[in-house]
Amino acid sequence: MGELANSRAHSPKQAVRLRHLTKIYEGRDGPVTALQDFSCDIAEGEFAVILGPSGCGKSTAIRIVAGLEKPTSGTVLVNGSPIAQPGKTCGMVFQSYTSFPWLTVIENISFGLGYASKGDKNGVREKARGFARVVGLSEFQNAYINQLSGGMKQRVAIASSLAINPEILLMDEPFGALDSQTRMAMQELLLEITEGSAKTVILVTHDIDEALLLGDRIYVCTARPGSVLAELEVPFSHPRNASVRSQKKFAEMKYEIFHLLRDHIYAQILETAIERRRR
Amino acid sequence: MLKSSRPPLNAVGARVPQRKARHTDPRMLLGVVPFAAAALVWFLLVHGLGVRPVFLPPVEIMPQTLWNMFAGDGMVNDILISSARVVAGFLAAAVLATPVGILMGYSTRVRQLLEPMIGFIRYMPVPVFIPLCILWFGSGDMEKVIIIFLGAFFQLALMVQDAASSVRRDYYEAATMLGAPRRALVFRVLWPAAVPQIFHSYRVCIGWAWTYLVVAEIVGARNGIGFYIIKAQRYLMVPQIFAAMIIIGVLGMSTDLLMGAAHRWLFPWVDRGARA
Repeated sequence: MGELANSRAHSPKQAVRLRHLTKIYEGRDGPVTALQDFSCDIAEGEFAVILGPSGCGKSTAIRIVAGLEKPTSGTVLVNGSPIAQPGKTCGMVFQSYTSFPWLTVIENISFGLGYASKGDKNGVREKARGFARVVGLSEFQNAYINQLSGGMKQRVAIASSLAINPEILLMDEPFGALDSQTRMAMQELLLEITEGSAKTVILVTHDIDEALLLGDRIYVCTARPGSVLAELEVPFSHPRNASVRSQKKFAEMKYEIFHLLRDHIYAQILETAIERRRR
Repeated sequence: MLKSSRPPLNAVGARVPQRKARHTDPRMLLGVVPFAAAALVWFLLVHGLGVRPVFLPPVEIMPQTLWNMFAGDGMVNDILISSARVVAGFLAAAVLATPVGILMGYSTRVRQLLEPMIGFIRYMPVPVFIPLCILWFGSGDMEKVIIIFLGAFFQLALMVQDAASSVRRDYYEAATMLGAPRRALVFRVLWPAAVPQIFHSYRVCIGWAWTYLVVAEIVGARNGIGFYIIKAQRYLMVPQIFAAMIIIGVLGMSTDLLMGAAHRWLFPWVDRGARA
C-alpha cells in the first residue's frame, strides 16, 4: 500500500497531457465556448479531480480525454500519443445511468470483458463475478438494471469499467444524480477501490468534499468558458479513509476552494439571470 | 489488485429483484363490463325500442348464428384463409420494414434518402391500391397479401425508425468506452435497446393488418371473412354480418393478448411501471 502511494506521488510519467484546449459548440443562439485554453498534466497513477461549478465545461474536458469529442483546438496526449479511438486505454463512468437495461448485472460487467478476452466465456464470467464482489453486488448478479437503485446502477457502471482494466479510469460526475447519503457511501467505496490500485483516475465533480476525499490533485475550474483557475495538491496521505473528512486541514481546504470559486459562481448566476431576462 | 474489506453496502436503497406476480387480479374482469353493457343495450334496442331485426338482429340469436357459421358455413376455413393472409402480409412487412427502419434510425443519410418517399406513400389510403393490385396480380391470395403488405410496410418502417433513433446516445458511448467496435453497436446496443419498442410497433401494426385484410377481401375475393361479410350483405343475412364482425373482434383481441404476453415473456427487463 505504502509503496503504491509513494509511486503515485513520484511517478514521472504523464498519463494525460492537455494543452490549450478550446472547444466551441455551435449552439442555437450562436457559438458557445465550453473550454478556453484549458491545460493540465495528470501523472500516471494519480487520482486527479477536475472541480468546478456546473456548466464550466469540465465534462467536455473529460469527454475529450475519452475520445468521445474532439477539441476545436489544442492538443491531447494520452500516454504520450494522440487518441486513436475511444475505449482503448480509458474506461468511463457517466453521470447518467448507462448500464444496459436489457442485460443483467453480471452480463453488464461482462460486456467489455467479452471484447477484451476473446472466446474464453467461463473466464469472463469468473472475472465478472469478481468485479461484482468488489462493488458489493454479488447478491444482485442476475438482477436487471431497472430493478436496482441509483447507487447500485453506478456500482454496475464502475464494475463494468474496471473489468476491462483500463489504464485510465474517467469518471464524469458519477455520483451527481445520487442523494447525498448514497453519494457519501459511494465515495467511500470508490476510495477503497482506488486505494488498492495504481490506476490513473480522472474524476469530474462539482462536489468539493468529494474532490478532497478522493483526489491527489485538484484542478479548480472557472465557469464558462472553462479553464484552470488553480491547481491544488491534496496533502492527505495514503491509505486514506473517510475520517479525513474530520481533519482541520480538510475544512480549511474546503473553504479555500469555495472561496476561489465563489466569485466565479456568483458571476455565472448573474450572467444566466441576465441571459434569461434577455430572452 | 482490487479488494473490498468492508461488508458490501447493499442497504443503500436496494430493491431486491423479484419475479413479477402472476395475473390473478380480480380487476382484470373489469374489461368484461363494457361487453355486458353493450349486450344489454343491444337487447333493449330490439326488445324495448322495437328496432326491426333487419337493422339489428336480436342479440340472443347470436350464439346460434355463430354456431351455424362454424358448423354449416365452413367459417373455420374462412378464418384460416384470412389469418394466413394477415400473417403473410404482416410478416413480409415486418421482415422488410425492420432493417429498413433500423438503417433509417441509425444513419441520418439513409433517413434523408428514404423518409420523404415513405412519407409520401404512407398517406395514400390503402383502398386506392386495390384496383392496381387486382390489375397487376389478379384477385387471388397474392393480391390480398400485397395490399396488407403495402398498408403495413410504410407505417411500420417509420415506427421502427422512431424506435431505433430514440435509443439513448450515451448507451452507444458507454459501449464504445467498454471496447465495443463501431460495427458491433447495431447488434449489441441499438437492437436490444430498441427491440421492445419495435415489437410494440408490430403489435399495433398487426391490428391495422386486420383492417386492410377486410378492405382487401371486400373487393374481388372468393373466400375469407371479409368476403363472407359481403356475401351476407348481398343476401341481407344481417345476423351473419354481426357474427362475422364479432369473429374479427375476437381474432384481433386474441392476437393482441398474445402479442402482449409475448412482449412480457421476451423482454422481462422492460420497466412497465404502473401499467404492469
